[in-house]
Amino acid sequence: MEIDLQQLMVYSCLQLSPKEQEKMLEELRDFACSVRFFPEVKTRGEGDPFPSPGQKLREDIPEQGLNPEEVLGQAPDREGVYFRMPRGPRRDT
Amino acid sequence: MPLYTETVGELRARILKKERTVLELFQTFVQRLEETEPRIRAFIHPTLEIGRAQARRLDQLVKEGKPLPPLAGIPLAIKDNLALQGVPMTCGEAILQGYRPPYTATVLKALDEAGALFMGKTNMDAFAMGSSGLHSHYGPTYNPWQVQCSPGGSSSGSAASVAVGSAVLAVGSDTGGSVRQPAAFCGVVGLRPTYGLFSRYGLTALSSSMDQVGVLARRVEDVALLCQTMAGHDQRDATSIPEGPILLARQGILPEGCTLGVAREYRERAGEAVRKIFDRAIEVLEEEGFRIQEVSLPHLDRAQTAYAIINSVEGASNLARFDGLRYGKAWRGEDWQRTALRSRSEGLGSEVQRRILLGNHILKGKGYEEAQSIRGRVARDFQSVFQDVQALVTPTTLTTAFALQGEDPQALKDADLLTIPAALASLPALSVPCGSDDRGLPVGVQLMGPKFSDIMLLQLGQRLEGALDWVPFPKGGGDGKYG
Repeated sequence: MEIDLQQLMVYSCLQLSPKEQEKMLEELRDFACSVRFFPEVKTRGEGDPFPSPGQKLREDIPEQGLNPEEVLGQAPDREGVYFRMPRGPRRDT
Repeated sequence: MPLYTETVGELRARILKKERTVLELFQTFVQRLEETEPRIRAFIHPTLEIGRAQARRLDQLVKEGKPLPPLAGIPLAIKDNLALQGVPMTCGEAILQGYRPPYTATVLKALDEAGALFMGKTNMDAFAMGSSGLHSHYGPTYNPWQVQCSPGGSSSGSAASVAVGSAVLAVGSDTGGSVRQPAAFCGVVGLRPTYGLFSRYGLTALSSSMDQVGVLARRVEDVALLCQTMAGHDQRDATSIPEGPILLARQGILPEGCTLGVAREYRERAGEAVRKIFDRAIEVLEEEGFRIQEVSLPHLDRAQTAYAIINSVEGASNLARFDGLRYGKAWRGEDWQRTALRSRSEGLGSEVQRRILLGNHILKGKGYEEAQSIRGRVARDFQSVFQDVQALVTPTTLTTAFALQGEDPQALKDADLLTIPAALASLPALSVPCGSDDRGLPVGVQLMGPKFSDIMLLQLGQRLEGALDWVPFPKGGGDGKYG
């Protein structure tokens, strides 16, 4: 499979230096080689390997949320009772 | 013997007999921490004020003649990916600098109620990605047995603090071996419990289908005490199993003279020094009356690749939330997109970035479903083996602790080869120190069992520990002296 590292960096919201990009491409290619042995392993038709006795989801009961002041205290920037976001992207980007 | 080499039971006896107040005991460990930290660097944020306040509260109980909780006065180290309200939590990464969680992890609440004294938040590979302790934004932690060596990872600081005696107990997290591997490298006991036995509420997620809170101590009995305190259902964690304690009881205790399996592939892959100690441990178990049977678990290498895929995919998804806009530190850009791009590019380390890119590459193409199929195969291999044997005994790692600098990349890559399968199969596994190599570096033996066999593994670990009688304390003490 062809590796489009530029697109991957966009998906991942990361910017790598040219040197880092070169290294990363090499690693991704190596990785593709290691996966090609997977079909050798028999993986079908032997039942659920993860039966989970007793596991069930909790009841969906609304609970009181966190204190807004405490939570907003974690924001890098705020305005009143809101997070303040840096301004949006320009049209030409 | 110095106080910091004692077990929970021994320290508790001193408090009950009023030989020492809790505060005096705490001060002894603070002194030990101050002596050893310049060389070991196990902690990112000591929490000595919290520990001191906890000690004072416990002394008040003693004064009033009230009963003491089970871990009263026992110093505890906490991996820095567990939330403690108001205390900085960095997960070993730059992007979370300045973040103070507004809530406390369920397991830490339980430990506070049980009387543990919080010594601090410990160093770790960033976002629990790594097996060397090298991938921390705050610099490496050093192995107390030989400071030029890695303490293992990602729970590097938790293992090192217990090994050097700046804490008696520690909490870590184990996704593919991050408790057991550093436990083996640092000569302490480390438990990864059955998936769902301990609450993960308040643990920063890396790979949600495998992450578990794990525990470390110098003795198996102390790990058992921690396990007793922390196991239980938590409504705030959807993966927490309501009937956990019942299922633990149903698995029962260790039958005398039962059969233990030695996985051929695990033993063969281990280096000579590790194999020598491992073989001695097997002889000791035979002398103790256990039957030993060789078994095969053939998909070790495929398990490693499947783990890399699942870990990267889940990690890429979980770490998408760290963008400089909601938590911790931001690297400002012209707009929110550039702020997020800069914050992630500057605030996430190279290993974290590598796994995010790999994870997104796999998500975009093929591999995740295949990896999950391999995971199922690995789990079925274990199920099949547990029809014939009660538990498995393997080395924990292929080698003893490697050098922090100049190590063969393959040794780093294979650092968690033998601990990954239990994580993939959601099984409990315990690493017990069983001796040391010619250089004096510890060797760990791993015990694995079916789901909810945690108690049985602890009993087996205690038998092994007792029979080997290996003194688990670094003679160098990380500071060139024992006491």
